[in-house]
Amino acid sequence: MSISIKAFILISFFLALPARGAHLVTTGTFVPYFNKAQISNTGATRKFELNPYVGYGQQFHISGPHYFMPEIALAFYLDNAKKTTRRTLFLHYDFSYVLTNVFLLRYGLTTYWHTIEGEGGTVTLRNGDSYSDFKAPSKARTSYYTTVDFGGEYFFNPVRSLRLDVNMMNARDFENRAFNYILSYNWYL
Amino acid sequence: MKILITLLAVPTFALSFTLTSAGRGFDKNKIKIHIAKTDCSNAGFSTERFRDMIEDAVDDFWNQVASADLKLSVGQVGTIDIDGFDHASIFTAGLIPANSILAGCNEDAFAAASGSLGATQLECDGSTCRAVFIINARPDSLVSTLSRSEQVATIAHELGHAIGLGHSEYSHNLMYYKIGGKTQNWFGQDDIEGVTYLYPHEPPAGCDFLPLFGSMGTIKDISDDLDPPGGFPATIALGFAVIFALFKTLASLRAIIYLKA
Repeated sequence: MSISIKAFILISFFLALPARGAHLVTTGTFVPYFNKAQISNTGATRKFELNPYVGYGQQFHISGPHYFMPEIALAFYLDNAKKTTRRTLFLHYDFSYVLTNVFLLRYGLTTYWHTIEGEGGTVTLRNGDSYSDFKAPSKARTSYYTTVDFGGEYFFNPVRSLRLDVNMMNARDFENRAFNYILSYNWYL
Repeated sequence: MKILITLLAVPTFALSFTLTSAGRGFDKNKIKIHIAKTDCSNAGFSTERFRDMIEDAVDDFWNQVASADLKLSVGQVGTIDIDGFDHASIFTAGLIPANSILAGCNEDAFAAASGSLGATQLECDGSTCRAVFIINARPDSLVSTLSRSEQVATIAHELGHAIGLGHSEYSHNLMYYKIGGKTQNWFGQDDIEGVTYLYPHEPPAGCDFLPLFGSMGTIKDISDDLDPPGGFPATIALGFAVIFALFKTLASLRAIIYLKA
């Protein structure tokens, strides 16, 4: 099943939920493997990247300062190569705690559906002293994994906010832990 | 197809990750690396140290990709001797156990003054794959001139071929054809995407439609893994569900109390 159909079904599911909470539209950038993925020959690591991120969520009041804020989102990658495209569908199961009138603490889980799709064919690349043909990926494959989230959200006014979500991969494995982050601007409807 | 890397040559254009001529990786995500007992001294290290560097390459590179589900393990220096063999004859002689990688040093797989640091071959037949990577241990091998971190990066590069990855055109990626002239602390994005493509976290069996929590593992995975990947997120999720239910119960009780008051 294509990722777009899955997204459609999930959005429909979210829309079908009892509309007791606020709706939320978000846009921003997704930065994977923060400070870990190498980006240059000098060994410099990725600190920021522009990967468009759009999402829709809802905010349900639980009790007192506690809210449940599920969200579905999609990230695109601007650096897709000629023969490969990738995209990530997110399901956030986050809770928030109202710390002050303008600031929320956020925590929870996110499931990633990271899809890599190749057109197939061959690519001629350097190989030792000469050139060789290498196969390009020819299928769409999706990796499903879950992260532990924490972050904060600052409100400029009652319906506009700026949000930083940090997603921790390999949460159980201290040495192999890696972090993604999402920096986003939010509209509460 | 043998994959060679060299200190010679210049950078070219950029594409993305590629695959070896096998066009695939192993069917299993847990792959053992067997170490041949052949002497590595011409490459500048002992066979035991070669094994240690393979372990570093596994721990510092390939087993660290959180978006992929690849687990390489390294055996002790074994009894397999690849002295006098090239890649093809190693396959012909059946020296590689099924669904595993054989690593070793020798001088017979390389031409004189080739500049090659190592060469790898992966072959798959149905659900069975075998790979062998050989580090150049000729007397004129350039491996001995590399720093230890470059030697580990070279081994990690060859391991990348052994699991099915081809070269990348971006020079900062480990799978670029050349190791020299750069600092390779970890993977570039091509390496990450390549290993994620070949060894993705599979959805739970029968849950492909709506995997609420990824990386849960299949029944088979759980049976041979004492620490199932889905255990932690599933436990956390259950915790959140309990907290959520608790809050809802408290809110309902409070509403009832207020109503009675």
